[in-house]
Parts: sequence; structure tokens; C-alpha cells
Amino acid sequence: METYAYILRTLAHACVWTVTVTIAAFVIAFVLGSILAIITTLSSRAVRYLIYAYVEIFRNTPVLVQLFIIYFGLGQIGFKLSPYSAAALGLGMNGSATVFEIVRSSLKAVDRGQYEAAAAIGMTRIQSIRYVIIPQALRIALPSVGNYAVGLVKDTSLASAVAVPELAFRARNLVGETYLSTQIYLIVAAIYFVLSLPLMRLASRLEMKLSSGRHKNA
Amino acid sequence: MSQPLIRAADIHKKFGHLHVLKGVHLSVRRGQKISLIGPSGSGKTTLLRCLNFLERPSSGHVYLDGKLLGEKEVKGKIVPCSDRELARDRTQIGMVFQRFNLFGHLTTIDNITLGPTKVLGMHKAEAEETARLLLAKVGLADKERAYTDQLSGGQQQRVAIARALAMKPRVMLFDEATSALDPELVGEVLKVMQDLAEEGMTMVIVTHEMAFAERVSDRVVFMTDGCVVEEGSPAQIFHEPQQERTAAFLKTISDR
Repeated sequence: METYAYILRTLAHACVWTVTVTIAAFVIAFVLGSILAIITTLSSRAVRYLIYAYVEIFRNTPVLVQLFIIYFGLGQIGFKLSPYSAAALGLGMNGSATVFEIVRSSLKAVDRGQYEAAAAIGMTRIQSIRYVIIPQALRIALPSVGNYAVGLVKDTSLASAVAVPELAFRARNLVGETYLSTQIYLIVAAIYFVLSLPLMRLASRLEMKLSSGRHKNA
Repeated sequence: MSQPLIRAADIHKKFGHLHVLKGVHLSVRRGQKISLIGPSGSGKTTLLRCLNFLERPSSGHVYLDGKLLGEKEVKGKIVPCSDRELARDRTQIGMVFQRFNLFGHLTTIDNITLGPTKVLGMHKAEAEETARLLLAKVGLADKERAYTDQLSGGQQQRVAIARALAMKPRVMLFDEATSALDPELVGEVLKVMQDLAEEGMTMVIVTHEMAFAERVSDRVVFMTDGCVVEEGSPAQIFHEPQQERTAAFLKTISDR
């Protein structure tokens, strides 16, 4: 019994790391991905191609390898990051490629007529993007961003590879100490499930609220 | 005679190999109501869109109150003007679209106040006051909190007209404003347009509603195949067309 109390205590502690890495990586991914997507709609071809190159590199190489490069690779040439920073940065930059694609296609999905109507009332290109296009694109993007966030919770287990003491990392250590591999990994799976579920719910709630729920105040 | 409010001079527009406008001239004086009619594909919508530079003419120029629109003269050469300069000039030109294009994420009143507050820098309270007057004018005073998808097509188009008017434009462009509407909703939009005409608004109207064009406009321009074929008073165009192609077009319309 004491062993289980120890296991649960350790995993609860690890949970905090999992959540922290998720939040940090999500913020980086969302902000960076959205900004890059907005820039591509406004900028010159050269800038656009640079951004595409960035996105393609992150989309077409494994996250795990990206984490190794950021943690070990940068470390070796003098940019030593803590495991936590490396994980947040790596997962965040990797996620920014995903968010970029989501936001870019959402910006495209907003009807052309909306740009024209904004232009016709004298808005500059930047004003129309800001006041007319982005609010509508975010609404379109939200369900996919929600799905990405749920995926991210699970992907944080990769941070164990650069020694962030999150769930997967701690679980492996505990198995080494106690040999209770079945029990421990089942508990860990249950914890990931419990972490993801409310996020999934939140995403679909927000989606409902933004699409049809607005009728309430009409 | 005073200088035209809007003048399009020798406008050509090409989309790839397609030559849509082939040297069109149009001049609109203050207070005038001009209807552009013609078969679909004749270039009338493209011409209208050139008047506020939603389409940039391939060659030719547009003048707003004698001043180049969308372009400027630098060292004797005419070059495109900046996004900001074009936007500023566009505030003087209201436009109503066939597909309404209301901002879907905003309520009716916010659709109307967005331009005045963000573009003209008007205070929100003042903008809302104006918006309410405009909503009353188009008969939608009770719909200020409604979203686009809760309104009929006719109501949406009336909101779109109010949105354009909120910018206090000097001229209004109507691009087939009733073509996307169910037949029973056409009347309510035409009524608003007629009221506007009677108040003396300068209007350029692309339309397939011939009876309306005849009643409201003081000049009718018939276009086909990218050229102006004939223009004149409604009485002349509709009852004594000088050109065969005008007569033929009007006949196909009345035969329907």
C-alpha cells in the first residue's frame, strides 16, 4: 500500500510538469503559428517562402529529433537550455507548424467578399485583416486548434527523452524502482486520459458557443 | 457645367486573355443616378468595381472629384498610390454587393458602426446613434442585435446599405443589389434605394430591374461586350433605342 502511495505521489508531482510543458508549448505554438500565418497573407513572396521553409522543416522531421537538436545540439555549441525550456521550445516550434497550417487555411476559408466589403468601407488591408478576417478565421480555426491541444498533451511524453521529469519520465523511473510496470503504465494512461478529456470538452463547448450559442444574446 | 464627381476615362480591363472592358468612358455628376444595363458578361459589374478600385483597371484612369483615384502623379508619371491613400478615398464611395457581404461575426449595429469607429475614428456612442437612425431609415430598427444569419436576404441587403451610408459617402455604387434575393424580397430593397435617390444621393446602379432603372435613373448606360453601346435618358433607351443591339437586348428581357 505504501508503494502505491509513493507511486501516486510521484506521478501527481510529474503531472504538474506535464501540464506546464503543455501550456508553455501551446502558447509558443499558437502565438508563433498564428503570427506566421498572418504574415504570409500580408507579405512579399520572399518572406513567404522563408516561412514555408520553416514550416516544412518542422513538419517533415520527427519531433523527437527536433528535441534532441534543441537540447543536445544547441547545448554542444554553447546554447545550453534547461530540459524544460528545450522541451517547451521544441514542442512549441513543432506545434507552430501545425497551427500555421490551421490558421492559414482558416484565413483562406473566410469569404473573399468579406475583404471586399471591408475595403469598400475604407479599411486598409491591415485593418480588414484585424477587424474582419481574423475574428472570423479564429472561429473557423478553433475546433482544429482544440484537437491539436489534445494531441499536444500526449506528445509531452516525448519530453521524457530530454529528461523533463514529467509523467512518462517518472513512470519509467518508478518501474525501474518497483517493477510494477503494468500497474504504473495503466495509471499513467488513465492520467493522460483525464488530462485530455476536459480539454476535448472545452474545445467542443467553445466551438458550440462561437457558432450557434451567440444567438442567445440576439 | 460642374466637374463630374466620378469620371472613368478610357478604362480597359483584362483578366488574362479575357478583355472585359474595352475603353469605357463614364462620367457621373453630383446627384445623378445612372443605371448600367446590359447582358451578363457585358462588363458592367467590372466597370462598377473599377470605380472604387476593387478592380484595378489594366489601363485608363478613374477620377474622384477631379482627382486621380487609386493612383497618383509622381514626377509626371502616374503610379499606383498606397493602400492607405486608396482606403481614404474609398471612404467617399459606398458600395453595395450582390451577395450583401455583411460581417458574419458582428451584430447588425456593429456591422454599421465598424467603419465609422475604426476608419473615421468616430466615438462609439455617436456611431451607434447614427447607426440607429440608419437602421430606422431602412426599416430595421428592431434588428440591431441580430446576427447576419438571423436575417432574410432583403434585411441583410438593407443593413448593407445602412453600413455603406454610415460612412457618409458622396456616391453609392450598387452591384446587382437585388439579384441574389427571392422575388418577394426585391421590393423592400428597391424601396430603400428609391428613397435614397429621392434624397439626392449620387448613385451608380448595375441592375437587371428595368422598370426600376427607368423609374429612378436620370441616365441609362447600355453596355455589351465590354463597350458602352448607347447612353441616354431612360425614355430614350427604353422606348426609342438608337442602336440595334440595345433594342435586341431589351426585347430579350421583355420576352422573358
